[in-house]
Amino acid sequence: MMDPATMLSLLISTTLILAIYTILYRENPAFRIGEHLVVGATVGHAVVLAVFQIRDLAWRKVESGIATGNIAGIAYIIPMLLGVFLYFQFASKYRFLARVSIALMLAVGLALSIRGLIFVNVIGQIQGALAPLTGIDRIAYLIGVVCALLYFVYERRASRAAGPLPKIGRYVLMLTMGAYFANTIMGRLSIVIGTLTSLFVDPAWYLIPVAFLIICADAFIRRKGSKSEKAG
Amino acid sequence: MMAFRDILRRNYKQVIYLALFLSLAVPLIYPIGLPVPIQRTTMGVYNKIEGLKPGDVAVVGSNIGAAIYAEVYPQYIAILEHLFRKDGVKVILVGHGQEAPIWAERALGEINAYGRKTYGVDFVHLGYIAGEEAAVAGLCRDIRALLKVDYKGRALADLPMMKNINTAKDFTIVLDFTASADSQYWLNQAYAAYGTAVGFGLTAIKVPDAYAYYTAGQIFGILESLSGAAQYEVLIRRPGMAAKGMDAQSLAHLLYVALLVLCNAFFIREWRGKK
Repeated sequence: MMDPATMLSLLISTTLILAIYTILYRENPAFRIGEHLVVGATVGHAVVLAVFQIRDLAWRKVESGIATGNIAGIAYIIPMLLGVFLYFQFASKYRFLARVSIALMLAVGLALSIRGLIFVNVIGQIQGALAPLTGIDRIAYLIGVVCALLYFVYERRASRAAGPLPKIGRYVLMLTMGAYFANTIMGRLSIVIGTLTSLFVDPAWYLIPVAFLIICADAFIRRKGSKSEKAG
Repeated sequence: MMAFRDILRRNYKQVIYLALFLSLAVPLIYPIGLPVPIQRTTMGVYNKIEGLKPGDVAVVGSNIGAAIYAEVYPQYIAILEHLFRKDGVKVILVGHGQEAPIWAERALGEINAYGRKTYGVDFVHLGYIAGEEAAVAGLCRDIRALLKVDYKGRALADLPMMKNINTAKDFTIVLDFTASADSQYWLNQAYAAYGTAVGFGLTAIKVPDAYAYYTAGQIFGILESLSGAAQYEVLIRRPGMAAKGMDAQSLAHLLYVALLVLCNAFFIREWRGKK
């Protein structure tokens, strides 16, 4: 037997899921309420977590640094200040301060990722393409890489010398995009399946026919209204 | 017939949505039991975990949130279940998405992790670490310099399991569950810098990107969306939410193909009629 609190949360979540899905019928207040609640809850959760992160990662270290005289702890005031500087983006007079923070973030991000990116995305990929051709998939991979690269050679003479290979490259790219699109559909379906799985549990699923009836009633009333309008 | 065609013409979107709902809902209520073929990418993950020995360390990163839970959460549970069946394997859970710790705790509850293993000895939950790639880099370079406490505020120094785990060199494998580019962080920071074996559990839209790394031998495997989770559930003989959903997904795909053929047939007929 489900405890009342779990049942209540299940019914609320089911109602909100169904409210969100009513957009498939038409724009309506139930959808709007559901949408605003989801956005509000997500933003609220993110803000609270962000505040906790600042408190735990910086503020407490500054506090203990001041209390013990530890310079390394007090130095955490610098990233906090840089974070505050980001908000000067909205003040044209002091926008340069925001640029300092952005530049620093970009520099740190680039410095951290560049080594790995080159190793993984350049060296690793070349090594992968040049691996021994042990099977049909390896041969297809090599042909695909070479042809796709040739497609992006815009120099006319070189492109002409490559013969039909750039065209094959174009088909490889189209196949890749097709795979992306098919995967997107599969992903979206998985989300719906996950949602439906959570709807088809007792007592949540009782709300599904209720939602259908409300939609049907609304469609009937609207149809009747439009007919009488036409007659009038 | 004319009335039906009129309804189709005016409300074709709603008709498609209804058909899609039925194609998904009916197999969920009355499962057909279609076979789930196992892909190479899934086998790669399974074999890697199967090959773990006592004392090995598995880091399970995640960016699971409400938006992607339907695709990635079943994978996460299946992997944790498999890892927890392996005697002596140490599991570290870490989140690089704000909602990740909530889902991690929920998954640990679902597989009864606290009941069957000892916290701090067999597994540790580090919680959410802010800072995106910088956080992953910090974790790989020196865990203690980045974190002093775990998700629930217990000092890392008090957790016996963490005594000999300091950098990514001590990680045997890393499995990351995400929908975004952050899987790249582990490749950049753990695989490229320390040679740690990395695998992914991804949403469908991210899978084509990851195939480039898989084909080049840079990652040991990929769990691909709900179908990857279903395959893994079959492999570990623990059918769950994903395996249940595969019938629905197959039927919905058939509906998509049928709609594509039908719509094109209608289009060609109308086009010829106009000619």
